[in-house]
Amino acid sequence: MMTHPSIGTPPLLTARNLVKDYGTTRALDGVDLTVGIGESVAIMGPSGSGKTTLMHVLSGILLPEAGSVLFTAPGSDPVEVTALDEDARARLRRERLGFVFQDGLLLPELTAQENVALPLMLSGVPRPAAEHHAGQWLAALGLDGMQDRRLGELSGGQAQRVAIARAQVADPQVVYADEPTGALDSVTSASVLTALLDSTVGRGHTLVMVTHDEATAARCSRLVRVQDGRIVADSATGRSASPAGSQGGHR
Amino acid sequence: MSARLPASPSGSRAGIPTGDHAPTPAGDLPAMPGPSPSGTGIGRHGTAALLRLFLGKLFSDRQVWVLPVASFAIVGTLTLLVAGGASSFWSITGELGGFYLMLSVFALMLLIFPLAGLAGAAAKLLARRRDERLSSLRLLGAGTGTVRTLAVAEAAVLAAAGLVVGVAGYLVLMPVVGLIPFAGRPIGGAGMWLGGPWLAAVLGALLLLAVLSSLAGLRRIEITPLGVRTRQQPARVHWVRVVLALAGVAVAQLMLQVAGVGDMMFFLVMVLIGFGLPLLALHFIGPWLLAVMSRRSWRRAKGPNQLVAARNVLESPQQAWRQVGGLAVTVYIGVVGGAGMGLAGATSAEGARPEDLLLMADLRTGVLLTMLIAFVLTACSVGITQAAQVLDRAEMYRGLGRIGMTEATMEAIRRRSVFGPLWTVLVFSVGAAVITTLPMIGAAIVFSPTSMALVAGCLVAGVALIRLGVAASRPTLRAVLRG
Repeated sequence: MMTHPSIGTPPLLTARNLVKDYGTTRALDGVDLTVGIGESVAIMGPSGSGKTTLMHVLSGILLPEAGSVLFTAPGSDPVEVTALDEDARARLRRERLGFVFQDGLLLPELTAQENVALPLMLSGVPRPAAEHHAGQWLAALGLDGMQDRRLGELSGGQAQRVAIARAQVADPQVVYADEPTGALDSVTSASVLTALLDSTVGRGHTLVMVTHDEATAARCSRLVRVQDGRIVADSATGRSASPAGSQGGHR
Repeated sequence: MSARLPASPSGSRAGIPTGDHAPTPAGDLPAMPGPSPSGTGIGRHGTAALLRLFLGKLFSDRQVWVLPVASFAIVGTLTLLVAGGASSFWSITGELGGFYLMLSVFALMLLIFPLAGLAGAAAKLLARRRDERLSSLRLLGAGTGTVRTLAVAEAAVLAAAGLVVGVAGYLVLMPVVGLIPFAGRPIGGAGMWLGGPWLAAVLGALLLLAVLSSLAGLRRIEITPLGVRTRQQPARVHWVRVVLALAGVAVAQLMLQVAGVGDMMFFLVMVLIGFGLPLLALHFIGPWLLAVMSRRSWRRAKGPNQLVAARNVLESPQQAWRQVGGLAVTVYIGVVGGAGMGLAGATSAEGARPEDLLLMADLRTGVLLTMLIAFVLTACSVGITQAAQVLDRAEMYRGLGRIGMTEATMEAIRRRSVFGPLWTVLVFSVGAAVITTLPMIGAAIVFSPTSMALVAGCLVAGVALIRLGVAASRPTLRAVLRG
């Protein structure tokens, strides 16, 4: 029997009856999920279970065949993500959501600072202000003095911190992470995860993370298990959402 | 560190097996296969089997063969048309026969660089398409010999298929290009025919280029099975290039000065070196010039498009130059030659011999045609290079799409990465033409505005062609973003 933990905080994301098909394969089969402000939600499941698809639909990367996703950020009107067109969803992702991928996917020809400043510049922030803010984020994530390094000059963990800084630079209410520590060793993985949690839930923001690693999932406040396109378990891990004392982050 | 999760009664967490701690459900699984048959490593027979497997499936996936085959088809058609067109001058007889022969060789010299750029781009695209699969084979334990054989075989088969289509394109376009008039009559379809031996030689050279480029591309995989290729530092273009290039030009001047002191063969060699060295010097100095201009553009960049495009060029100024550098000399010659011939035609029309007027018209046609062909070759080279780059960075483009970069923005960055270097080349070439022959160009504008309008029209058409070249790779970007 599936249990729904009480989220205890106002909802940020409300997904209802999500259905997503790839050809004849049903990747999501009537998924309902509510994610509260300040939660850290780990989505787990076997390969092909639909966990990444769920994250992509929640974040507006993919549109579902049926169902809806409502994004209710504090201080602004609710947005029905699934009703937006391609350009509006791209803008939403650029300006109000953050993303961290397994391989970082940074531009190799740009420096760390330029990579982090890019989302702000894409949103029209002048370059000096964008680079200044990017530098602050890099410093906050322990990369002070590495602003001018390129991807090839950074270790895997450092590159992933740059990716986290890029995800955070536009101050998104929610960060989506897809196997953010999947390519790292266990020690680096733990420190990158700490950086990710501190910079999101540590500041009262929300983290939605796809992972295959139990230890990584256990550091989130909530664990959602997906199988065959359905949520088969949804439980609190015992960790509190938005841990007290770390709110406010580096700013 | 990790908190324990609620355990299900079966010993797995919420029904998910948990690696080492998951109990083995005895009797639930079908019997596993026995020990693997042992082999003696990938030998000659193994390589042959892999070869059959790989080549048999080469044309089953459109994503693998369409772009390389199309690229080599374009390379084949254009190379054969250029060679055929040049060879048509070799059959012109009479007192001007030698002059036309010299002109055709000069045009070929000008077109060799853009032609090599186009063929190189196609060969690189061919090499990139199979890097991933060959890297996987290396990881599985395939030896260097096996990987090399497979790479060469695949490259040769795809290039050969493209060249067959290219020959068909050449045969179809021969009569159309043959309508261009020279020496008072159209070249004609038959005049464009290279002849069997030359046709085979050109095709053989292109096939060899594909194979060699494929082998060169393999070094990356041989160095590291993972095929890691991220540069730690951008390619540096040293200012020493400028010194060497200037030295080359000085030597060329010296060669031309002493050309007259020996016999005919000595004269020809000196003239060839005298004209060839400055061309080489230009291609030596070009990447440095692009690096200087792009660094300036990067410093002044206000928006993301300008910033990323400038960084793109700075990543490898040599590659950016290879895409558009072939235009430098042809545009210079096109502007100077177009103005000169136009002016000569306008001022000496009265009283000139008909054959002189014909020669002048031919010279003008030849100059403008060479410039247009260089633009066509560059546009194709740009299209192929851009498609290869999109495929090379497919995962990164998808990632940028996910974080909210629109396809239009990516397209604008790609366009700027090509047009930044292109404008540099055009501004410097046209600027050099104006500075070195200002009185002639000024007079041509006054006395032969039509000829100058024709030169300007060719330049505009050329730029439009290159824009088309970039746009031609957009479907590849779209497919990557959809994937």
